[in-house]
Order: sequence, then C-alpha cells, then structure tokens
Amino acid sequence: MMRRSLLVAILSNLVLMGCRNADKQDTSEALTQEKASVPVVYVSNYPLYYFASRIGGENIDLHFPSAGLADPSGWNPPADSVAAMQQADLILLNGATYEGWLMNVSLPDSLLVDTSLAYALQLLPSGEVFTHSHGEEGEHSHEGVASHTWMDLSLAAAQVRAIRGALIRIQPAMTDTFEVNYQELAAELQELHNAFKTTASSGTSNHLAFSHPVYQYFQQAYGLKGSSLHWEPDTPLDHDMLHEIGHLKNDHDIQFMVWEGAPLPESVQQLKDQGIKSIVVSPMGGMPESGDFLEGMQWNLEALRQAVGVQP
Amino acid sequence: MIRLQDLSFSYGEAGFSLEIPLLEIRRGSSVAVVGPSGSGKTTLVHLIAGILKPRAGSVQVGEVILGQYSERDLLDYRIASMGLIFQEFKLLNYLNVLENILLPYRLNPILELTGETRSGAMDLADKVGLGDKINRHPKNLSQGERQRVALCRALVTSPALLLCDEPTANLDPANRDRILDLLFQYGQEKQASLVMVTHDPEVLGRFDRQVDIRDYLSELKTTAL
Amino acid sequence: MKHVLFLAWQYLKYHRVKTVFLLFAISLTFFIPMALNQLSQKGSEKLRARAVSTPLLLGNKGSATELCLGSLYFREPNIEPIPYSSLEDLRQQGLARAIPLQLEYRVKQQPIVGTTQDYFSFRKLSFEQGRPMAILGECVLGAKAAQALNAEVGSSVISTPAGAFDVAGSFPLKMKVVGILNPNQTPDDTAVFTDVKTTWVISGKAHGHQDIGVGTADSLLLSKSESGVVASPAVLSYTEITPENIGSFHFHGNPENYPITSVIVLPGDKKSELMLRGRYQQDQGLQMVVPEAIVDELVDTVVSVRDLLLLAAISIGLATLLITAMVFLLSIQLRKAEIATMKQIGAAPGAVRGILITEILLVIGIGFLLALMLVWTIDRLGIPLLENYL
Repeated sequence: MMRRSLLVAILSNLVLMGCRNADKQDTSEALTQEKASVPVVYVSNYPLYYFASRIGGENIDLHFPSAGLADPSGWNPPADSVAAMQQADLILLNGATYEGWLMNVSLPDSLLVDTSLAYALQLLPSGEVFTHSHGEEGEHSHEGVASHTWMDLSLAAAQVRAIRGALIRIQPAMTDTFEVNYQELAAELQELHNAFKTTASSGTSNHLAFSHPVYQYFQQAYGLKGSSLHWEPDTPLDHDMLHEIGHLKNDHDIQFMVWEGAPLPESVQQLKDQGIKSIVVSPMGGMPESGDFLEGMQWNLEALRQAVGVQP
Repeated sequence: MIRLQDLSFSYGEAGFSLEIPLLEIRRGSSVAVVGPSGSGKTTLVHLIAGILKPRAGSVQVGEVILGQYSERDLLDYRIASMGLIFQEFKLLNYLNVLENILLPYRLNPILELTGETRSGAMDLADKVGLGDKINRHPKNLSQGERQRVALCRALVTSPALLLCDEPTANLDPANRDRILDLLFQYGQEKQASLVMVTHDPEVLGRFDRQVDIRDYLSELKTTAL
Repeated sequence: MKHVLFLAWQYLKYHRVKTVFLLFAISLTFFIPMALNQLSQKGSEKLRARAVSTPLLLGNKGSATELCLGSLYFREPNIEPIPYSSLEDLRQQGLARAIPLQLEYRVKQQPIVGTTQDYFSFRKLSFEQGRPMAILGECVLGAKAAQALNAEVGSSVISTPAGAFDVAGSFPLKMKVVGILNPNQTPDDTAVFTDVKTTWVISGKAHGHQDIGVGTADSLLLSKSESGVVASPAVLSYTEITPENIGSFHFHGNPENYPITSVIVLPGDKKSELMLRGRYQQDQGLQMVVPEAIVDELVDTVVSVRDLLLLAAISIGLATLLITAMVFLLSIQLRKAEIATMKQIGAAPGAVRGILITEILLVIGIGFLLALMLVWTIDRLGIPLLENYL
C-alpha cells in the first residue's frame, strides 16, 4: 500500500515537473519568437547607427559591432562577429570604400545595402596616393577614395533615404512609421545642412589646415579650402610636424587647424605660438562619448563658425 | 482375376506377334512368365498393366476391362491397383528412400498423401530392413537395398496385383531370396496376384504355375506380292 | 500442385551444381539489361535534377558542356575564366540574383568551390557541424570531402599547387575548416567551399605587408630530429591567414578583373530569364546557358549508348536463354527412363510434364528474383559509385 502510494507520488511529481518545464519552454520560446519577429540590422559606423535607430526605433534590433572603435573603418571583424552578421536580416554599409574589411569577410550579398550607391559616381578621391611594391612586381600606386560621405549632409540625406528604403523592404508592415520618422530626420538634416552652407558662405574663406584627410566631402559641400595633414590629436607635435605646419602657414596663411578630436593642450599652445587657432570638427565616424549625431554636427557647426568668423 | 481373351499384339519390326486365345490368372495366385530373352515376356506384363494396347482382344483385370477405360482412368486404375517392379529398379536418384517409396502418391491426385500413408511407408521400410536408411539417396544404397525400395514403392498402395519384370535378375542369391520372400508374403497376406517375368530356374518352384511365352508366339503372316 | 512443386524442387536440389550454374546464367541474363537500365535511369535522373535546379549559368564562350559539367559537378573546368565584373554587370541589370563560382583549385582530389554565402541557401545545404565561412581563409567541407581529407572543424587543409613548374599559378593556402555539411548525395558532398575572395588569395591577388605565416607540411619532411629537419625536395610552402596578419591583407589590382569560372544565375521570373538569355546571345565573350538543355543532350547521348548496350545485352541474353533451353531439353532427354518409369507407375497425364515445366519455371523464377535483388543492391551501392565516377 505504502509502496504504491509512493510510486503514485513520484509519478505525479514527474508529470508536474514535466508540465512546468513545458510551460517554461513555452514562455521562453514565445519570448524568442517575439524577438525573432523584429528584424536584425547591422551597421558599420555611427552615422548609420544614428539614422537607422531614428527611422527604425524599436521596430528593429540594431547592432553596431565596431562601436568600441574611435574609427570603425579600421575594424578587423573577428570570425564570430561575421558569423553573427550572416544571420542578420540587413547589413547597412556606408560604402565609398569605408568598409575596408569587406574584402576580408564572407557575407551574403542579399543582405548588404550600400547606402552611398545612389551617388557612386560622385565619390571623391581621398587625395592619398598609396605606393608600394609586391615582390618582383616593382612599385605601383593606387589613389584612395574618400569615405566620410556623411560629412556632406546632403549625401547623408541620400544615405538616410537608402536606409529608409531598406528598412521598409524588410519590415513592410511598419512602412508608415518609418516614413514618419524619416520625414522628421530628413527635415532636421536639411535644416542643419542649410545652416552649414549659410555659415560657410557668409564667413571668410580662409585656407584651413585639416589634421587628417577625412573632410573631403565636408570641404566640397560647404566650400572650404584647405590642406590635409596626417596628425593624431593625441600625438605630440614633433619637429617635422611643426616644420610642416610652418610651411603651410607661410604658403596659405593658415589661421585655423581643424582637429578631428580634442588635441593635446601642448599642441594647441604650440600652434597658437604660430598664430594658428585650434578647433575640433569631429568626423563622427565612431560612437560619440556624449550627445548624438545631430548634436555632434551642431558642435561642428559652432566650430566652423569660429573658423570662418561668423557670429553664432 | 486376370483374363486375357482373344488377345492379339504384333511387333511389326520383329516380325512376329503375340496371340493369346485365353489366359486366366486366378486371384491370389502366383504366375511365373518364362521364355528366352526378347520373346515378349515384358510385352505380356505391359499388356496386363495396360501400358501397351492389344491390336485385338481384351484384357480384364479384376472387374475392369482395360480396353473400355479412358487413358486417364487407366492410369488411375493402374496406380491404385497395381504395383510394378522393374529389372533396373528405376528409382529416382534425387529422392531419398522414403520419398521414392511414396512416389505414387505424388504422381496422381487419385491417391492422397496423408500422415497415415507416410507412417505406412515407414513401416514398410522397416519391414524390409531399411528403417534406418529412409533419408539416404539411392546412390548410397546397395543393389539389394535399392530393389527393396522398389519393392516398397510397388507395395505402398496395397495393390491387388503385382507385376514384376525380372526383379531379381541383378541380385545375388541371398538378396534374391529375400525379395521373393517379401513378395510372396505380401501375396499371401493380401490375397494379391503375382505375375513375374523371370529367367531364373531356381525360383520357378515357388510359383503356383508357369506360363511359357513361346506358347503364344506366332510368325507374322506376311502377304507376299 | 504441391507434389509437382515438391518433386521439381527435389530434382533441382539434388543437382545442385547444375542448378546453380543455370541460376547464375539466367539471373545474369535478366540482371545485365535491368541494371543497365536502372543505372542509366538513376544516373540521368541525378544529372538532370542537378541541372534542373540551376536555372542559368553564365560563363566564357566555348564549350557549353564543359561549362555545365564544371559548374554543376565540379569537374576541372576546361574553359577560360571570366572577369568578376561580368557578375556585377549582371547584378546591375536587376533581373536575377548571381552566385559566383571559382573552380580552378583543389585540395588533393577535392574541388575547391569559391563562392558566396548565397550558395548554401540556394542548394539548401545544411550544416552537420560548425558554421559557414566568415572571414578570409576559412572553408566549409562537404561530407565526403571531410572524410577524404580526414578533416574536422578546427583542423586545416592546404590547397594543392597546380604543379611543380607552375610559376605564375597558385599560391598554396592553408585554410581553416569551420564547418562540415550534411551529406546530400550531390557533388556538393565532395567540395571544399570557401569565399570566392579566398580563392583570389590562392591566385595570388592578395598580399599582407607583415610577416605572412609560412609553414611547411610535415608530411613532406624526410626526417625530423631535435637538431633539425631534413626536407624532401618537394617541400611545400604555404600562406596562412591568421587573426594577426589579416589586418594587413589587401587585394591589389582591380577586383573587377579577378577571375571566376562561372556565375549561377537565378532570374526573378520567367520573363527575366528570357530577357537575360536574349541579351547574352549577342555577347561576344560570354554565354548564358540553360543547364537543363545541355544536360538533356548529354543524357540523350547516354541513353543512345545505353540503348546500344541494352541491345547487345538482350541479344546475349537471348542467346543465353536459348542455351539454357537446350540444357533443359538435353536433360529431359537424359531423363527419358525416369519419365517412362513415372508414366508406367501411373502418373496422371500432365503430371510428368508439370514436373519438368515447374523445374524450368523455378529456375527462371529464382534467377529473376536473384536479378532483382542484385539490381536492388546496385541501386543502393552502385549508384553512389557511379556518381563518384561522374
């Protein structure tokens, strides 16, 4: 009698446990299913991240694997990141050769969207000539392509249009929402673009020095003349660099050095001694420490105003 | 009772014929058919068996006049009522002893192979001293053993008539006597008739009577032109 | 009936050797044409299935058959490669998806298939272990390739150099195996899949500027001791892409000119397909073929060869059957005495005939069954062998 009731107890416990586990499984499956119904989108730089999150919002599962880098164009994707990207629904690329790592990875072509495709013919050269040799071949050189397209806010707007199209394609049910978000963002970009143009045209057209060749589209869009160097903001200026800037000062009467990040105070002082003021115009490639894309570009606008002598 | 009446059978090629006005064999009696080789002794046995048909006259075996039977009925009658033993034994080399004995049951649906017949066959085999060899094939038997198998095959259907064509010709005296003992024993037990063609003078004494085939041979009349 | 069967069977059993010979002859007579038919049918079915599932192929003008055989069955392509720009041009027309194939290289006997991720979903290939290739230098093995190369996820394979005097040819590349596919009884089982860009590394189109890992295959060392290593003259140096050097890897020249063997073209709809075929008909350098049509031609040839062979086999079969019939007749002649005995004992009319006919039917019947079993065996085992050969 005892044994039988014990058996019954054990059996019923097992059954109950089974039910509970099944329940648990059901709920966790439901959760996964929920998540799975939101498309997974990958981006390769901060501007794309910002644009995609403005348009897509909670309706997409956005990933920015190279967020930790100050300059995501130099990202070396590890294999497991690439494997994860292969499972995504959409991979937004800046294009214009920004993603140097693209040739090193295997991603399904059907997932890739080159957001600069619309203006592929209007890409600018980077002004850099790479010369090297491979074994017996002797020297040869390539001209690079400038990749910081979004610094021209009208090109950024074209990229935003491409993103909108791609998101609607993978999530047609949310077309209206995406459209509304897009209009809002496009208007803000337009406003900012106009402000830049006004600032640049109304100010003095000084020849600027750019610490790094990442401002080609910026220069072209807003009519800024300048020469590019290869300086890092956190590298102290050495003799050669001072010599370099000295020459530039002589040739073009440089008034302002445009840094891509906060320079060392010593560098600022050294330049000041040469009569060159320092401003920071962030190329916004990587995740900013504070603020968002528009705020960052707003600060860039302030810096530009300084450089061209326009009152805010 | 076997009766051959006004029987005429001719061997065209041999140039002579068999003429039997009347030949009666009483039921249960034993008859030895004698005569020189090639003189028609086998023919007589075949005529009684119905294997050969006479040109004229009738053959009656028991109640049945063979000439009035259809071919099919004749075969049925033969397999059920007559036991044939041949000189060369004529066993099927691919069947074992038991299956050779049971062969008639497999050749004609008029006979039914049952458990009873099977055990009857095994008893027969025992009786003739082959009880422990029923699974052997003929090639593994001696001459005497083979003839005993042939004998069992002839007896397995409990025929009323035994027709034997020189069954002991290839046997040594001991085996010969053994076979003859078995045959006569059966004849006595079942009141069966025994007609045997034989060359052997030493065995003639055992038969009720002898029939010399030469009494019935005649030259074929040829019409010369 | 059962008695007739019994006697017939006893006869056959007793004359074992003769019966076995006859069975063998008869089963062969049936088997050869049946097997021929089965093999060629299955073979052409498989050929066709592979071709039918591939709507269009783009490749260099030349033998359409070579293009198909190379691209569908990974035979060594005897056609000139086409530039990668052909694929981009095709894509831009917006009428079809395009999957490149670069088939120039091998790992020992296994073909290297340089392609993209889309190939796996196109051919509905699933993974038994691991994952698809993600970065340059990774590869995925088909089930049979993994067995042949004795490789597993985590191990490496090295591409085979084209030849000892291949000066401008391939640069052996050590590739890491990251996935193994489930078997699916197609040529995909034998392949080493990698990204098409990896095959361009093998072509020597990419270089790193730091120390590229150079290794030596152990199997080619004559002896190895603590003090040193004696290498055979055929020692192999290979390139290896590692997480340390991948950053410095870059391709030079224009990727648009890099070679691919062919492109699998997946048109959006029938209209797109017809448009594409029309457009490329005029092309001087490229051809767009319909693999189904090419393979149908091939199959027709196979079928006509098969028909000839069948004719031969059937003729020989008939001859064999005639000889078999003669054997039966002779045997009946020899059994005259036995037949006479049975009749004399009183066998029913037709009983003896029945026994003899049953013997013949048994032999033919069992022979036929044997042939069927052999054909079934061929089906299970022989078809895969044929596929390997093909």
